[in-house]
Amino acid sequence: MSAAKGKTSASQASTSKRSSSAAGAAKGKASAAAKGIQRVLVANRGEIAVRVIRACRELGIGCVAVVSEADRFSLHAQLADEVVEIGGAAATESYLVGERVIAAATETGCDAVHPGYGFLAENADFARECAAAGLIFIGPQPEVIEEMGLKTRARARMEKAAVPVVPGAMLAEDASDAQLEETGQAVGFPLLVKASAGGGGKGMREVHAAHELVAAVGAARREAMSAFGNGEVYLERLLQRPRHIEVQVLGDSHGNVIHLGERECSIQRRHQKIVEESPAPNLSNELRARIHQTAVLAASSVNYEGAGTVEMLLDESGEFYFLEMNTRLQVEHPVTEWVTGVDLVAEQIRIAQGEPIRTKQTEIVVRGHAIETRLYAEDPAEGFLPQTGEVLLFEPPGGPGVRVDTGINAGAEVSLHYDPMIAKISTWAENRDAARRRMVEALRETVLLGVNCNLSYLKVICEHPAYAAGEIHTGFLEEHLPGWRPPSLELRSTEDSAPGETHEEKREQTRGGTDGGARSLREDALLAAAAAVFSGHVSVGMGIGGVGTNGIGADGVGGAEAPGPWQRIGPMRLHATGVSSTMASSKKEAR
Amino acid sequence: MELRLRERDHRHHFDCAIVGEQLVLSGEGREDLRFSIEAHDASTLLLRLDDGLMRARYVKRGRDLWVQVGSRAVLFHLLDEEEEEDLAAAEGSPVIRAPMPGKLLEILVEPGSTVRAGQPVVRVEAMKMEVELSATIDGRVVEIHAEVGELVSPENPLVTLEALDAEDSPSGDGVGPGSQS
Repeated sequence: MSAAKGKTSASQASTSKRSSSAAGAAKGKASAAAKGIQRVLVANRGEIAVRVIRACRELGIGCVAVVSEADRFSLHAQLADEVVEIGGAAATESYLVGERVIAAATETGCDAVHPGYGFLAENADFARECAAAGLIFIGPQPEVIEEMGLKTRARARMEKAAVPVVPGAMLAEDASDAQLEETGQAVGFPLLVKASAGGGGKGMREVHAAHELVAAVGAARREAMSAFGNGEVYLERLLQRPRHIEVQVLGDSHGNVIHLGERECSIQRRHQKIVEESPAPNLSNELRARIHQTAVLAASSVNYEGAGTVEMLLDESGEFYFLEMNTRLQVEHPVTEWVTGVDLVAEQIRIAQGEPIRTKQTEIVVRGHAIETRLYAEDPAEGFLPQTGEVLLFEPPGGPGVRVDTGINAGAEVSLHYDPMIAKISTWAENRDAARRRMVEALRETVLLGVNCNLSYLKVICEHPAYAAGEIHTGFLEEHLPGWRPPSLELRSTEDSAPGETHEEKREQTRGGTDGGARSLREDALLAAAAAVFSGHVSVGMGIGGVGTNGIGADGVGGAEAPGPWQRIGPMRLHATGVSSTMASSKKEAR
Repeated sequence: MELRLRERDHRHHFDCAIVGEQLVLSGEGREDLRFSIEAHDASTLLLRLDDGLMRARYVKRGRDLWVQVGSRAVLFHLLDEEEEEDLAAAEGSPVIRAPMPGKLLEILVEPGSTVRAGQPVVRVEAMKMEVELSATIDGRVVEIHAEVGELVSPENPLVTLEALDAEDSPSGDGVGPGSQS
């Protein structure tokens, strides 16, 4: 980009003439700000597109969705005012193609683009192209995106602003193996190889000894190249049992920067966050305040405009370091919204149209505690590999203090083209333990059939005593649940069980572990259900060919009848123990 | 009637009969499982087992059945005879496959080498993540079907293993798949 300097961004509506057609007129952006944003193109899919569309509609702003051909019937397409199909199922043919997104915005009369997270959200060129097309990019200035997007540059910038960064070193691309090892020694082992353009754990490698370094750098470069098109990597000292604490910040074009408290995101599997919360537990108020101030300093030093997140690592001694700044809305933003009551998407939109932040720092009060868990289509029994398939049944939880952000609707297909996240479940309560218990119940209520998911894993984490005690750090899952996998079904009796041992005794000793005896009971129920359905005793549309009657016993009561909400076979006594159900078809008819 | 089910790599064979008001499931040396269906609708089953009332949510698609009890979901497949024979044949010599389309990055074993269950066999890149695939049994590598750099998908076998004979098994404790029929 030339000398435009991006300073036109949503500033005080100095220019009011609309340069509508001239594609190169970078100043067009300010004109929309004069009358406020009228129509937003939502350049994303899934739950975050749904989130942005909801905010737009609540604000009385129009919203246009873009979809790939795989997403025509998706939830975000259903909720938007208008939908534009922009290409093939692969993101590289649709959601990642900036020109098509911008063309869709122009065609449908949008004056702003909200990028969500991922895809084009941290693409500075895209932000510039939006401005050039007369569209407000709802996010920070392109040069800030660029600077913070390259971690090596961000580190340098923060060091200059007196923000502490994790000790580390750059790597020359043509460094010899010997030079690599020398740099590694200087940083100190263990260390992390990280992709400069990286995120979400991609292109990252842990190295515990010098001889592993060369291979790790190679693997990280390959992964970074394939994921981000940029193979640059650098080294960073691996802190021991650090906590990942990040601060939500808001900045506006009037020079105001505030923070909205911190989020604790230490529960990570392979550097991918899966459980987050706000506020961070077990943190002194003094330390908390210093972390907040440092985050505000970091954001102010780049004149940040919009919603952003300053990620930090806190080590065991109470030292903390700048890790990176995410120049976009964060996946885990709901926990901040829960405890502060601030609608972050609405704030993003207001800031983008040039308004000052509506809330003063002193008015930001963190109330209660919120926890978020990420439900992923992945198979914990197979190394958490992403799963694909049709969602056949999805019943999210509900009730007071429970929020579900999802892009999944009936028949939604989880494909390998996109992120396998199915839903974010968040809970709020007056204190941490109440929020945690509410989360456990919410997970217990959730039903998801059709794709394997991490539901039971999330529940195990939230029920873990160390999690309940708030004793968390980024190695939590490795330390407490190493190699966790759901117990495999033990449907056949184990061969080594002693003769004469009773069913009950066997249950008690089923492979020790948190579920103990209950697990075996669950296996029985799973098996019983399979037997009931497959043997045709429960009618579910087409039965298995050749299997006989529906219903149990001779009186013909059962699944063959017209489907009611419930088909009663005998009187139910939910709390009775030892009462056998009596067959009573008359009762059913009397109902 | 006979029920032949597959759950992941495991094959199960039960007899299902009605005795009085209960369904009785027997087989596999397991104690009979007696239960009654208290109620059901199109996606919920209320079952009474001797221990009490259990709720199962389910969806059936053809011969596939997804069942969730608590936060545990399982996919059962009803086997026909042909499928069962194929599966029985494959159990002695499990095949490692890519779980989803991706690229083969590295082969960590050689034909003839001995592997333990859980030992990494190949590295693939899928969904832009590098993943190690491990041996499912204690066994020997019979054949490697792909080359480094090749694009692989779940249909292509990558590595075929065979179970070790009892005498050269590294440990005798494995109740691996196929230990009985």
